[in-house]
Amino acid sequence: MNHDPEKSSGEIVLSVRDLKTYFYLDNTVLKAIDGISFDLRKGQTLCLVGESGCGKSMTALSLLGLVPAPGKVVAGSAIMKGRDILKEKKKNLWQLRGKDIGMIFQEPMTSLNPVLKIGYQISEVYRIHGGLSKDEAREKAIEMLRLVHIPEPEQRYNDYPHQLSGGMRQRVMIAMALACDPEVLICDEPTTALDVTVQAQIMRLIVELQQKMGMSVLLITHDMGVVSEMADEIFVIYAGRVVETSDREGMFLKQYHPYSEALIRSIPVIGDKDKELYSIPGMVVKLTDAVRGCAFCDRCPYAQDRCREEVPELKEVAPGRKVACYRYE
Amino acid sequence: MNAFQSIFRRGDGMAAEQAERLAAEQSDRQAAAQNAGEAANKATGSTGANEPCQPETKGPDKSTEGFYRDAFRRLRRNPFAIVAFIIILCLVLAAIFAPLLTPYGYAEQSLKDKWAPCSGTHFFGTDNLGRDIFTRILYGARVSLSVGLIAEMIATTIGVLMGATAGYYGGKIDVIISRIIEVFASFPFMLFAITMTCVLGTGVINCFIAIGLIGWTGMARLIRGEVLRLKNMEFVEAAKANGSSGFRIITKQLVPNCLPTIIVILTMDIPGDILLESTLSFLGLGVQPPTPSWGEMISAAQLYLRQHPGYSIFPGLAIFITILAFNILGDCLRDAMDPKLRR
Repeated sequence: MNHDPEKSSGEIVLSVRDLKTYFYLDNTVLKAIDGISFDLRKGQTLCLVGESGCGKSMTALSLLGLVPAPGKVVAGSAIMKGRDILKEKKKNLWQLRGKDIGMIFQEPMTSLNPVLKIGYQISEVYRIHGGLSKDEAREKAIEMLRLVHIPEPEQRYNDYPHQLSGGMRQRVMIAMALACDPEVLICDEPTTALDVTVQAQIMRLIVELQQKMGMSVLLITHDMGVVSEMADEIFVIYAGRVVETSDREGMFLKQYHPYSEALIRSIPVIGDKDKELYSIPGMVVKLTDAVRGCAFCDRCPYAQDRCREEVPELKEVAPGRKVACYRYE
Repeated sequence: MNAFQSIFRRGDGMAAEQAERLAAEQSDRQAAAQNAGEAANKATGSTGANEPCQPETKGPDKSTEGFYRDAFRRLRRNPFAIVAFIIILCLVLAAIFAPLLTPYGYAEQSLKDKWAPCSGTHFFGTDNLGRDIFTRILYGARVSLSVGLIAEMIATTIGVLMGATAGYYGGKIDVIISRIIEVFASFPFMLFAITMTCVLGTGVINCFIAIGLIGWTGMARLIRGEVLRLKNMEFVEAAKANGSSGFRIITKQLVPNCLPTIIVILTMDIPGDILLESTLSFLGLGVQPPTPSWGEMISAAQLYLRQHPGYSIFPGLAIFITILAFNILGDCLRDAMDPKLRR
């Protein structure tokens, strides 16, 4: 994990601009993502951080065109290899999924089909994208299993998911996502469902493969520990909007946005018995039309009248730091 | 004829009840499987970092197909299942080796021997044309079993495809297919079969097609329900994220997950199909004489019911035993695949 400055000047692989995904419910519009923009550079790891329900996962699904039914990508662009993947025709999307963008899901327990052999599930990806024969796909799948450090890959090929532990299953998921050597790997909370000891292994594996294959990682997480290990760039998301951007070191030294501040404050400190663990008061706002102004203002200790009326723009407050908050104007 | 119709019609209420029970058991099974998996994980834990980890198999037995193996083991322990299976096996063998088991041909007439009683030469006696009833029942088994096989194959193919398509795509496609299912399910079977035979002509194959075309609705409904439940699971999402097309997801991901349901429904549907074939043949719409079929034999025997009851009793018994065997096997299969019995 080296974070040399050259990296940030790397070529942009995926450029997302003003992405908006709305859910059209019976009588309201739920703005799950309300204008998110970011650039993902080659070989870089970009972390989307935020609490549950703030639109992190929906960002990933929007990029792959997998937004569930009442939801819809209503605006924005995502340029990858010179084309806008959000405007890609539905029938062409399969070429993108798995081949240009791989995705790892949160639950390795349920992300693998319980009745199919794991090797077969990996070789499926080759059958879809490479048009390989069964035997060739099998060879490739075993190779992939070896790459993610699964011992005895030839034997494990014939295992069913229930025979593997959570960590091993997540390795299989990684093998599946990386089978066709995608340029972008989206990890949607890849370690949330795993034991703490296994988490580190999986994260290390992702970093290792990232360096080996030179892909870019879009890491979605609420785990600040993971962020502090992995991120080249951090985007804090609240209620479907980016509220603060930072590099890794900067974020942990100083947080500008009150929400980022609260996030960092809620990291438990080992050995600190006297201090009660901080939790952000209140709940995430309902992302319906009625919300005016900054979505965080109800939970914000610094909220002013203006915060309830207008939405603050994302503005640069320090080199490499952008914040959407009126406190810094 | 009306009485026959009502006896021979599939009990729709019963089918629905069975369906519900099965669906519930299915989801239980999956949950149980998952729990078992989790427990195994806790037991084994995970070791090693990026250097190869320890192989993590559960115990010494490297059972690859845990669920089916388990089910088979339970099935083997059930004496009812064994008996039912042996009966079905005997029927299959009898149907295949009919020419070796009897010296007579199924259409071989011998008028001087007509209405011969049960004896060493004619086990079940002879009919009004002096044909050996035992021989005709053996050959009749061919029709009955192939109806179970072919008609059920047609029904299963249509049912699984329609049900999975409806369940997976949802929306308008679901509405359209569901209405088609309802139309087919509420269609009077006899009317449909008569129309079919009018269009296609009478005969064994057309009889199969008619039964297959009417019998898929139950399967379709159940598979639709199964797929509705399965399609929201994460592995479907993962498959989509890998670029799988809808068709690929249905055939490679969802249908294998529905297999236990399909197997059980199949076994339970076969007796219904055999009964329907008998009904059709009884009415003269199915198998045409001189080809023997159990239903056709009963139909021919009804004229002599008082004088020679044996002529109708033996084919009736054949139908009864076959259906009983299939029903028992289906029941045992359902029990064997019940997660609550899993150890």
